[in-house]
Amino acid sequence: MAHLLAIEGMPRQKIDALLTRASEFREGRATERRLSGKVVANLFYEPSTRTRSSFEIAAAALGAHVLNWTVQGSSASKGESLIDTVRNLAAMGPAVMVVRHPSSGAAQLVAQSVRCAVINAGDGQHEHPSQGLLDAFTLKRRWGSLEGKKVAIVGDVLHSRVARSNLYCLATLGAKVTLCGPATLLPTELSALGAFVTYDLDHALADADAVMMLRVQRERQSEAMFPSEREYHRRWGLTVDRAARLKQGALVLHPGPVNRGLELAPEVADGLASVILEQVENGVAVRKAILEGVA
Amino acid sequence: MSALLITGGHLFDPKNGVDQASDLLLDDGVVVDRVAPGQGPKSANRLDASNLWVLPGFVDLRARLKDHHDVRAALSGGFTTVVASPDSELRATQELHLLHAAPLTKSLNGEELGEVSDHAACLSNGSKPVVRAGLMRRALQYARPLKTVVMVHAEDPSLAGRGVLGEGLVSAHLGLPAVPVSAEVSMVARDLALFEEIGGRIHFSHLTCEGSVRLIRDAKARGLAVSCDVTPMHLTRSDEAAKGYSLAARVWPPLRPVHHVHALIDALKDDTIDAIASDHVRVDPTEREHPFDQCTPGEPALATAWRTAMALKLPAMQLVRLFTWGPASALGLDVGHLSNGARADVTIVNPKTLEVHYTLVGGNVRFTRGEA
Repeated sequence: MAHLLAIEGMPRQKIDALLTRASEFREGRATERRLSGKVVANLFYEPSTRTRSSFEIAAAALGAHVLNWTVQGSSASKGESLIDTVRNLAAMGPAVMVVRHPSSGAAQLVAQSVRCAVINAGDGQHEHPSQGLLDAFTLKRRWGSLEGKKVAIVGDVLHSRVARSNLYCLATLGAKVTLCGPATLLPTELSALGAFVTYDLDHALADADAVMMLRVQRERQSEAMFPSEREYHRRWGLTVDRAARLKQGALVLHPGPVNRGLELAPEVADGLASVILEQVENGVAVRKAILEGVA
Repeated sequence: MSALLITGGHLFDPKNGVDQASDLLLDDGVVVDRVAPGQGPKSANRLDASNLWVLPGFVDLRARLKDHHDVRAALSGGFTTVVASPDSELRATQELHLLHAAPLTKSLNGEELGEVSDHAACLSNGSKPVVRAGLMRRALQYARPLKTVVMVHAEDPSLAGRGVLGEGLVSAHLGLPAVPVSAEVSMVARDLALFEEIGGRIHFSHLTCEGSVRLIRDAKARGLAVSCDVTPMHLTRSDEAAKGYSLAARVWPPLRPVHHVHALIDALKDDTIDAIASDHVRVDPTEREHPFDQCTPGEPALATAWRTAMALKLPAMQLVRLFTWGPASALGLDVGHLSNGARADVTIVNPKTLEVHYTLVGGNVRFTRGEA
C-alpha cells in the first residue's frame, strides 16, 4: 500500500513525478477522475481550514466521496484509542485516509493499523508532507528549477512540521535552506539535517531567493518562548523595511494561517512578492497528485 | 524442612568476595555453609547446578507491582527481594520478600510529608518530582534520625515540560518533545547540596545522563553517603530506539543520546553506580494504542533485567554485585549475600543462555525454568 507519511527519505524521482503530475492538474491538462466511486476519509484531530478543504476539493475533483471525521480534543481523553478509532473508520472502506493529529508519529501509527492508504496531513511537530510538496511546487513553477536557489525558513522552527517537510523537500530538489528564528524556537540539531542555522534574520535574508515565514504556533507553546509579540515582530518578523531590502524578485511564502503583524506585516502578506494565495491554489493540484498517487 | 545441597555450580558472592566452584548447603531456610564439591551430606536433597552460576537472590530497588503476575515475573527474573514503589497496588505476597517504599509526600502530591511506617524500606515519591527544595530538605531532615534512605526521582518539570525523549538529534528529527539533561542534572545537584547540609542517606534512582553520574562520582570521592541506580533500559538503549516512533523507547525517565549510555556503563565499571534497578511497570496494552507521546511510559523489566544486563559483558562479580549486595547495601538491607546464617535466597543462572534457571526464596524453589 502506498502512503505519504513523510518527505524525509523520499527519492527525488518520486518528488519530481508528483510535482510533474501536479503541474498537469494545475494547467488543466489532466482531468481524469481516477478516484471515482472511492471514499476519501478526512480524519482531523486538530482544527484546520485550508488543508482539510484543500484535500476535500482535490478528492471531489477526482470523483471521490469525502467523509469528514472531525475529533474534538484527543482520542485518549474520550476513552477511544487512536488505533481503535482508525480501525473503525477503516471498516467503512475508505480507499484513503487523510490524517492530522497533534502527536508526532500519529500518521505512521495509523498506517500500521489500517489497510487503506494513509496521507499525513500534519503530525505534531514532525512533518506536513503535502505542504512541503506544494511549497516546492510553487517555487518550481515560478523558477523552473530549485537547483542552487536559497530559501530562508524563518520563525518557530521548533514546533513546525512545515519546516521539517520543507527542509527535506527543498534540499532534495537542490535548494540551499537557511533556518532562522529565536534561539528558543530553533533547535540547533537541525543543522545536522542539512540546513544552515542562524539567529539573525537580516543575515538569513541577505541573499535569499525566497523566504518562508512560519506561523508562530501560539497553541503549541505552553510558555512564552520570546518576550513579546512586539519584540518578535521587530527581530524575526518580515517587516515592510526588511521586505524592501530583499533581493530583486525574491518570493515570500507562508503556510497560513498568517498572524498578521506578528511574523508578517500585513503589507508584505498582501504585497507583490507574496505568493501566499498561489500556495493555496497550488495546494489543490498537488493534493490531487498525492491522492491519485496513493489511492 | 530438610537440607538442600546445591551442587556443581560456580558460586559468586560479592559481599564476601567469593568467586569459586563450590556446593552450597541450605537448611531451615538459611545458608548453612559452602561445601567443597562432592563433600556435602548424603542425606541432603540435591539441586544440580552443573555449569550454572549460583548467586545471592537478586534485590530490586524499584518496581511498580500491580498483582501476582508481577511477582511471577520477578521470580522468573531471579529476584527474591523487591522494593515496591509507593504507587504499587500489590501490598503483600508469600512468594518473595516484598518491601515497600513509603510515600515521600502525601499521595505523592509533592506538597506535604508522607507518613512513614516502621517497616518502610525507604522514602520515595515514585516517578513524581519533588519540586519544592524546601520540602525535600525537610524530608531529608525527618528521615535522618529514622535511618531511612531518601530515594530521589530527579526531575525538574519546568525543564522536562511535555518531553518524552532525551534532547538530541533524534528528538529533533522525529519532532518529539525533548527533555534536556538539565532536567535531571540540576535536581541531582540540588538534592546533593541539600544532602550535604542535612546528612542521613540519599539514593538517586534511574539516572540517565553523564552529568548526573559525574556529580555522584564527585560526591562519593568526597566521602558522602550517596548511592544511585540505573535501569537495564538506559544501559542498553539510546534515543535511537525511538526511531519509527517505536514504543521500545517510551520509558520514563527518557532515553538519551548514546554518549550518555556509554557514560552510564563507565559509571558501572568504576562503581559510581551501585545497583541496576528494574523500574518495572506493567502498562495496560490499551494505554499503548496511542501515538508515542500519548502512551503511558514504562516497561515490565523484572523478568528480563538480568538477561539484559548480562549482555553488557561486565566482569561477573561486578555484575552480580549490581543485582545483589549493591542494591541491598544502598538501602541497608541484610539480603543479597550468602553468608552463613543468611536467609537462603539463591538465584541460579546459566551464564551461556543468560537465563535464570532457579529462584529460591528462604530455601524454597519458587521458580524453575521450563515449569509453568
